[in-house]
Amino acid sequence: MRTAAGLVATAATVLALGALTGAYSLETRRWPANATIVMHLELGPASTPLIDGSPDWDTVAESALAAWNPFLNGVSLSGRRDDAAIASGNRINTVSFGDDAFGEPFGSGVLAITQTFYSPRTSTITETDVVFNRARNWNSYRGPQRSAAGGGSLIDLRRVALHEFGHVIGLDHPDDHGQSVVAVMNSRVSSVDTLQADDTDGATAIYGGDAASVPAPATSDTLPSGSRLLAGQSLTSANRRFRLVYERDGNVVLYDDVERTMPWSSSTAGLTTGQVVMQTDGNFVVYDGSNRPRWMSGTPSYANSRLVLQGDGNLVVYAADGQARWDRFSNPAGFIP
Amino acid sequence: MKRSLFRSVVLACSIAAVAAVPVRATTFEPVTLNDMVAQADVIFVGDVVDVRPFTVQTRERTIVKTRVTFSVSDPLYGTSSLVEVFDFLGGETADLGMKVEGMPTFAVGDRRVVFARRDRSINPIVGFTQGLMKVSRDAGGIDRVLTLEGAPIARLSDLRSGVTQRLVEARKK
Repeated sequence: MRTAAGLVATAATVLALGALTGAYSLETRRWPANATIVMHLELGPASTPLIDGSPDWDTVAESALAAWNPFLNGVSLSGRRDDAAIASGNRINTVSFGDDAFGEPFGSGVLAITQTFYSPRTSTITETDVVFNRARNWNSYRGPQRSAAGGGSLIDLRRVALHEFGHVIGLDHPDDHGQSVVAVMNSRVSSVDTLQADDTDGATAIYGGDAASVPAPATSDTLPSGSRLLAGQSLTSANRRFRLVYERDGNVVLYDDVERTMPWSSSTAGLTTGQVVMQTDGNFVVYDGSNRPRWMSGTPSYANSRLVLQGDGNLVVYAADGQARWDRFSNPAGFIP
Repeated sequence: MKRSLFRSVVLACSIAAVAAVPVRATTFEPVTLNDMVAQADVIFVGDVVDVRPFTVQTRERTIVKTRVTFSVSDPLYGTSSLVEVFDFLGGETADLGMKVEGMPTFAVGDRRVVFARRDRSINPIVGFTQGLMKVSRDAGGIDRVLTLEGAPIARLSDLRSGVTQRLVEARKK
């Protein structure tokens, strides 16, 4: 694990290079390497239909959490719906609506807060809690900011959650440090409602590694934990009969080169291309160009799993213990987030 | 008179430009100069003379707050005290760090324009950080007001006039 001093030095270097390479801003605090950050989601049902079709607030929050995961290099954000004690300082990370911030009034004009507990000695984060101000008009939608029917702003919870979860992993505001970049992490809201390159570069800078540099196993039958396919890249079965291709229309397609058939696809054609990731939490996920999950294997509880394209044409997520946790023969539909 | 009116308009436009878009951090909404004057219980120009984090033991938890003491050099509204003291949620002691994202930070020697409320909250500054502005003296000896990020707003004298004008208007209502 890096020392706090090392991180400060890293941050300073990044900021110094900001004009050339991007300008994200890092806190000096971070989670331990390979931590699974469980965020207890207690937002509950929405009182009015959500514009983006999400069934409830926790689904919106899960989507925002998942958007960060491909860039955390071993650390993962995980949402858990339960009724854990909503408190600060109890080492339980919660995401909730509140009339105040754990008994302290929000103060003037606050929509949401993220508070982080950490060890000053090691700069290791021990807890973060996100509280959305219940008194505000919330919904979930994409695009430009909207007005509420009764006046005032209709606030998109997803983009605010993306921003707050960026704080959870240790990102600060680039524009508060004199930087001019397009980013969800800017303090000033805009029509930006998805993670931008500067945001993901910042996450990668904190947790090491570089998702873009993880080699895609173009001629392999296996997508290891933490690896991804970009548009045009593929897996090939060991007997070279089957190919799994991430097409440039956003679809992930399995081809049988003997039968000349297309036995399976993720049914995500027509989306902007993003990446297909074998996440370190065990979930195999298709992200669109806005880093929005569009299809997943639904196996986020099996760390260090791998995806294998077998010679029989089956596509299988194998957990670290060798057990198959998802395969296309038995569950071809997967899960649609 | 015309000059005064012009400066007032420029000041209003400057602050509106700074605060025109919603801000989120910790996420908060934009406020105008009128909002700040209307919402503040106390407005002053002062220098930070002490910053002191301390722990607070509640029934369920231990939290950290930071007590900031200002020496008031220019009371504009709501105070005749020589010092003003405010508590902010978050801070760092030897054993525990607690960071509230977006919370303003202070260092001894900072000179600030402060729009604050007296009632208890995680942050007494109006508009979270928007009611806190830097004051910097330029090479010509003129005090200028800037946002915390360093964007120029107005001369301190113009801000003072703007605040006074809005207070007069508020009293008339």
